[in-house]
Amino acid sequence: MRSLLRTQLRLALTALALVVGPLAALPLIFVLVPRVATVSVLGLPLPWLLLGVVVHPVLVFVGWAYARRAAQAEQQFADLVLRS
Amino acid sequence: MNVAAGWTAVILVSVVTLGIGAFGLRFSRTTSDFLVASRSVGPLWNASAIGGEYLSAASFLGVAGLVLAFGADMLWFPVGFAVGYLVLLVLVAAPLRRSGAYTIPDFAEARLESRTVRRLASVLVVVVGWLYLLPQLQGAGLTLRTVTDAPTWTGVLLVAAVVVLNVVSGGMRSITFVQAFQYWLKLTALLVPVIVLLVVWRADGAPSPASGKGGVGAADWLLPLASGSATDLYQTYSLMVATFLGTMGLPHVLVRFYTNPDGPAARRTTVIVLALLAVFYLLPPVYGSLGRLYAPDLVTAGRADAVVLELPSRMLDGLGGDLLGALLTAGAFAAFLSTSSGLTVSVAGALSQDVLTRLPLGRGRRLGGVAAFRLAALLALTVPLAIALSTERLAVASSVGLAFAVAASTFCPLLVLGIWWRGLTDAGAVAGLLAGGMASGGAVVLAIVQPDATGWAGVLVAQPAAWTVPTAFVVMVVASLVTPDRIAPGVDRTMVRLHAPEALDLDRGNWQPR
Repeated sequence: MRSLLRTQLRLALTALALVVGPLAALPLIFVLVPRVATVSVLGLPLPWLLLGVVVHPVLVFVGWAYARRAAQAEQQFADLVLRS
Repeated sequence: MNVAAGWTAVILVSVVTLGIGAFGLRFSRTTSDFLVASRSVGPLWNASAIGGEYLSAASFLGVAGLVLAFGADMLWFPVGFAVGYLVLLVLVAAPLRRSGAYTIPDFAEARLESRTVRRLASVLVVVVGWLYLLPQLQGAGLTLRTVTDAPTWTGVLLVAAVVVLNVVSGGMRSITFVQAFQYWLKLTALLVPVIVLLVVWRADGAPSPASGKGGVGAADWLLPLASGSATDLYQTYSLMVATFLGTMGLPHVLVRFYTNPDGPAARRTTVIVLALLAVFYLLPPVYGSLGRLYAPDLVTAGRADAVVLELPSRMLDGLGGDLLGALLTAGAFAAFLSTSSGLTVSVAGALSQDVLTRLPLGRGRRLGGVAAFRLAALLALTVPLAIALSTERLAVASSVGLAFAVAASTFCPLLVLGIWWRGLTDAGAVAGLLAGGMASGGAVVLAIVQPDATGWAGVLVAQPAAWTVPTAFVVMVVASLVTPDRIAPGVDRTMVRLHAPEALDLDRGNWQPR
């Protein structure tokens, strides 16, 4: 049981680190290297592109991948318990 | 804007909302139907309902208004509102569903086996709920005044009346149908006009929004943290903490998860919610940016929140502008109705389960479940209604931000530690809830009394989450560590219940929500 809990917690924290890590770095980057914020990609300034558009599909993908992994971990745990 | 078109939109949304509610009424009979719709709602319906309930006045009107007035820094609001759901998905969705509890107070009681924590959680549900209901009602007043010139109190009363009728008659089941309908209404209401408005903008030569006037200067508007000051940086991070961690603590959000059949379904539903929010949140910044070109005077007039409603009539003449304006008005009203309904159900749940059914009525009788819920629904709306009618308007998004901060400082540590750490004790939970609640609640009171404070004192109070959330976590952990003998006796069975797959036949304890 404790191993399942640890696996699930590790999965959850990995998913969070993937999304929150880069997001949390952004404000610092904008302040320390202001030039980054002025770069323009596809006609949009980089901050607007990242925060207004790119972040959303990334969120959905990470959420989807997490839900799959978590269900797999539960399945493995269930198989293990049922076999023993 | 055309007054007749505005009224038609408002009345149509209200009537359809009540109509779908009456349709759902045929299905709801018992108390448990009322509260969680018997857990028999499909994932897409449920996800639409969650999205519909979540997208409030702050999302529909407030974000665009903030982007219009302040630019790039405000993009963190929609990002935070969406990331909050990812945090909820990975940390609480499935275990919470498996706990079998209906509400946060139920969860607190099941996990910590303590009536005291339960009652404290109920009080906090009511506080957060009222804090969040207030801007919804005020936003409705503002909207009705913008589109029909009716006095502010008409919109406030109209929304309150429709919500009370709906909640009192149908409970959660009918609310689920209503909310699902309202997500799609809100999305359509933002999406269709934005396509037309972008065509007009291109025809005008696609000028850069930064070249528009109003509010801050072009560079400040276009670039995040252009000032580079430490207080601005703090505000951005504090906003991130509040929105990322506050979403899971909003009472009307959590209650939805009990309508999933099992833990994995709760996760799948949340992923669909993330996708629905992702599509929706692409749109408000577009309105804010166009507003800088076509409606900059709203900023100086202090009415930036109305930019979404005003844009069509500014950019299009005649019937086209009127029709799109009416569609946006309908979407805004859907936002007020859906979020207020969800909040009212949650606040009423806490009030009826922990206050009203415990009141003796004489001769040993007590109020029955459904009757108590109906009375509680009335009470749940009366208080914010009275405040909304008696005070001047706070900015919609800033009071919503304070509700997020209180939720993040109280329920977030309770849920996260309760689910993932078996060492959490009832004493620790009470200490943490009180510390987080009083720190963030005190900041809210100060922010309302002294809205003009500047410098560090001002930002620490206006955006308290960055210091109140860690405080609550530390107090909860330390107070639990010093009271190890108070760990709930059934904690191991509860952890099995929270985390083990449903397929396994295990001892999960016999706790049932009341």
